[in-house]
Amino acid sequence: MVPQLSWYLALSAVLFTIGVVGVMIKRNVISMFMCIELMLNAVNLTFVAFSSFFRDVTGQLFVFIVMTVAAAEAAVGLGIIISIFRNRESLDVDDASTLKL
Amino acid sequence: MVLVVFVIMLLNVEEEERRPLRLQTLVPIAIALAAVFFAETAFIIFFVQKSPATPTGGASDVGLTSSIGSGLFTTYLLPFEITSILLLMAVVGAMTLARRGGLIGANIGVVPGYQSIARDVLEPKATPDLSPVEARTSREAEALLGVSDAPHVRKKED
Amino acid sequence: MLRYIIFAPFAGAMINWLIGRRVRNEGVIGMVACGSVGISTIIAFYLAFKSDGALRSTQPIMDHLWTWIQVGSFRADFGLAMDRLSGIYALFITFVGFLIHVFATGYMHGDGGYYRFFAYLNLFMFAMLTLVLGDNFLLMFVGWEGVGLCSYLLIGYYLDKDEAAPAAKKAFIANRVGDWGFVLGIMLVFFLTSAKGVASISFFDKPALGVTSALASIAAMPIDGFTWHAIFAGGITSVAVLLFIGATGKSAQIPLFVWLPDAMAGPTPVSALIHAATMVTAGVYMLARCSAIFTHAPTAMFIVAIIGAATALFAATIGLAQNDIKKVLAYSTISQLGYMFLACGVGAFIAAIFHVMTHAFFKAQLFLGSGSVIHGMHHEQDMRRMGGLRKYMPITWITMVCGWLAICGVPIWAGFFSKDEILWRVWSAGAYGLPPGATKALWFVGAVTALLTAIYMTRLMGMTFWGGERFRETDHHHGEQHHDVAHEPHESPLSMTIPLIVLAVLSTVGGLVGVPYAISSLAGGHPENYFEETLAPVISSVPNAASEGKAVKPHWLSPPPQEIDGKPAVAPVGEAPGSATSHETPSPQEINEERLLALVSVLIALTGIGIGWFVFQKQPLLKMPRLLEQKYYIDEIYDATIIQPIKVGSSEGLWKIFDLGVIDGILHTIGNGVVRAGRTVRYMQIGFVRGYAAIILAGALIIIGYFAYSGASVLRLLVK
Repeated sequence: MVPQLSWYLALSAVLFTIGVVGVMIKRNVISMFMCIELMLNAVNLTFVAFSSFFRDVTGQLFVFIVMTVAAAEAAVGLGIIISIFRNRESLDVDDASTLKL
Repeated sequence: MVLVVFVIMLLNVEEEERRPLRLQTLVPIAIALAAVFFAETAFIIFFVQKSPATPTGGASDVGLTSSIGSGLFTTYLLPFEITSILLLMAVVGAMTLARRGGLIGANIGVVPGYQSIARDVLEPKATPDLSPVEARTSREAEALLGVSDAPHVRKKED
Repeated sequence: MLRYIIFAPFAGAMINWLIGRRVRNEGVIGMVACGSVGISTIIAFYLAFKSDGALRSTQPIMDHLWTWIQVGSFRADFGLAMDRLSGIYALFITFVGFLIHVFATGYMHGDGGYYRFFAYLNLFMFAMLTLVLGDNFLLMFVGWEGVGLCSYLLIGYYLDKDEAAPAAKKAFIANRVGDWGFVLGIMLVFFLTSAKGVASISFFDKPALGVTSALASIAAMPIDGFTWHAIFAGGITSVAVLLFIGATGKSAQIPLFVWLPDAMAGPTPVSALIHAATMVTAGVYMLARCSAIFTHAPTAMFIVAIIGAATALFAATIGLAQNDIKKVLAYSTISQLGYMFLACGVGAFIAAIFHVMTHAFFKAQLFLGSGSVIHGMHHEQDMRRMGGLRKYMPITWITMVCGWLAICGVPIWAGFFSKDEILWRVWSAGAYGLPPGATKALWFVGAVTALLTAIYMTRLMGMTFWGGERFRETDHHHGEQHHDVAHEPHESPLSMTIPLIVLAVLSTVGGLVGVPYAISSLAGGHPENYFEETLAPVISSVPNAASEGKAVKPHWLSPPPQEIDGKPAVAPVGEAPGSATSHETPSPQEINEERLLALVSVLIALTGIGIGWFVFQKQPLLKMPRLLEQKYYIDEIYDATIIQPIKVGSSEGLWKIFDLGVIDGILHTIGNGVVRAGRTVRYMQIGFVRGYAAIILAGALIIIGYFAYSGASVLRLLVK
């Protein structure tokens, strides 16, 4: 049974939904972070799937770019997390509910 | 991902105490939204399957490293370069953010979280007692070490 | 050149206003104030009397400063014009104003707000000269409002006096009522002329700018009928009545005269300058300027005459019973203004202007004299506490005697000629389209007023300068402070007496420029009435006065007139009667009639003086009827009929119902709604990241849903 495009799409949809729900429900900032990564990778999966389906290399190129952006985002985001943790002694996003430190 | 793991190790988060749950209403909302999202996605997938679109590109070059490379360095050169600049900025930004705001003097700072400090660090007049002083949070450690006037702490107290 | 007349006082006002407080030197401030007015005076005289000056040629001197409004063919410029009428006005305003400025430097000596006072005075000169020299209605209105403002500022000048602020407000509000009429009148002029073809509000033709005179185009229209309906018909009569409403406000006529007596709360030079000599005569100026409009509206003329006569008599009776020296003069001013309007109402605009001029001299003189008395009496204004002052203030006494004789109408003194001229014109006004019986009645009113004027002025003089020295009497009602203070009256300084002397000379001889033919021929003098000759070309006479039509033709005879102001007119001698006349001489019958009337008015004046002398010499403190002393309770009547209803209506209706209920209700509903909505929406911005994530997701879902739906419908089409 040859995997069809819709299988990949369905998988990526499931992954994305899990990421979305995780972002909203998890309170630990690192968990949220990982959920965001999950969403990005779900999108990457879609890209690759379409790239393969349409026999077009562009999708794969974008996956590269998305991964790079994800790396940049991870670096900055983790920097922010460290900074917040240093000030708040907490990784709970709900503790960082005011705009001032 | 590797970075994430490193950071988790660095932060040495203590046991998360049970906190009263806030935003409980968000859970059903999130589930409802997720359901809607999933429904929309399924809808789209369903229609994409029914669409008459057919593969367009040549069959041979997909997945070849050379085609990816030529694509990156010809048609998509600009996004590629922008990404490189973004990475550079991210490196600088991460450094700036993660640097200890409360540098006092050369390199004095407090490690976040639970820690034990040697007693003779706190009291230079050597005492026979060699048991460590424990600080449960970095704030306590700062107070012990007398670096509580570090800028980020002061800001916090404002 | 003309612009410097108005901008010199303006510059003086600005200098004193901005840096006067820092200067703190009365000499410098007074110099700036008097100097700036002096400059305007010199320029005004130069422009009026140079070889082709305003008074010596029929062409007005124009000065176009800038275009103010230009809409289509209509334009209103900031332009000045000095023709014979505005020239005469500018002359006596600047000259009398200059003298009053000089007087004020002495009178206001030591006052804390010295610089402020002179800044206001100069600003007033600026506004008044703009009013007079403006070449269109709109610019005239600017000056009109400007004098209103300055009047407000100057009446309320004494910040620590309780009655000053309400008096200032009263003056301002009464003037606003009049201004309402004036503005509507200007608009109606605009509509009338635009219906005629070219909309214009200019007084003069200005071919270079394509402006035609509104007065000329109205003068070309047919004369309105003598009916009451014409007042509300929106024609020329309506214009005239509306303009006259403006004049009643500014010139203190019935029913808007109430502000003038209260305006005496200001410093005395202000009373002299604004409320006697210049500002209040703006109404007469406006009527004379718009004589073309008024001569086409007999109904309005009749109203003017009636109001004028009524005001003259009414104010004179009140003046009879006042005890405050300035109040007497205030009511006298109202009464004399009534005279001027009476003259305007019968078409004798020139006589009115003549009276304005002589009145400016003698009333300024009397006011300044009273100021000198008040100054010498240490700010005592009640005549019941004066008496016998002639020993202490001889210069003030002598000069005030001149003013007194002038206002009473004793021959040779200025008031005689102008008053006699008015009375004669009223008597003979049957030909001017008024009901024939009415003019005789009006003359009678005028004659009675003249009698009353002589009586109350004699009373004033008698109470002030003759009789027992009542200021020594201990006044138990007045408190302790007068007991120990040596209350000796003293003569005023030179800066105050010199203007008094100059004005006294002018009050004495100023009338000689307008000696009517009938009298000058009697004395064998020069038979021309210079004043009338000068003004005849710029005043339109009543068109249907065919028998009186001698003044219609603009003509100008060779000998330039010996004008007033500064160079007192010298009665020309040595010319045979009638030698240089090129115009028609009045018929002998008219001359006889006029001479008879002059005799009658002399008798009236002397009788009045006699009555006043004998009655008040014996009993200077004679109690006058309470009704007169209380000014017919006019203020109380106004208060009950107009002010209280407005107050009650405002507080009960407008404030409590409309403002609190409707306006505040609407606003509160809107405000509360916004607050409530904000309170609801606030939960979107609680600061929790996860909440924001949910909102972002919801937004994304909506957008995705939209595209999915539309994309699906496209696909469905494709599939089918």
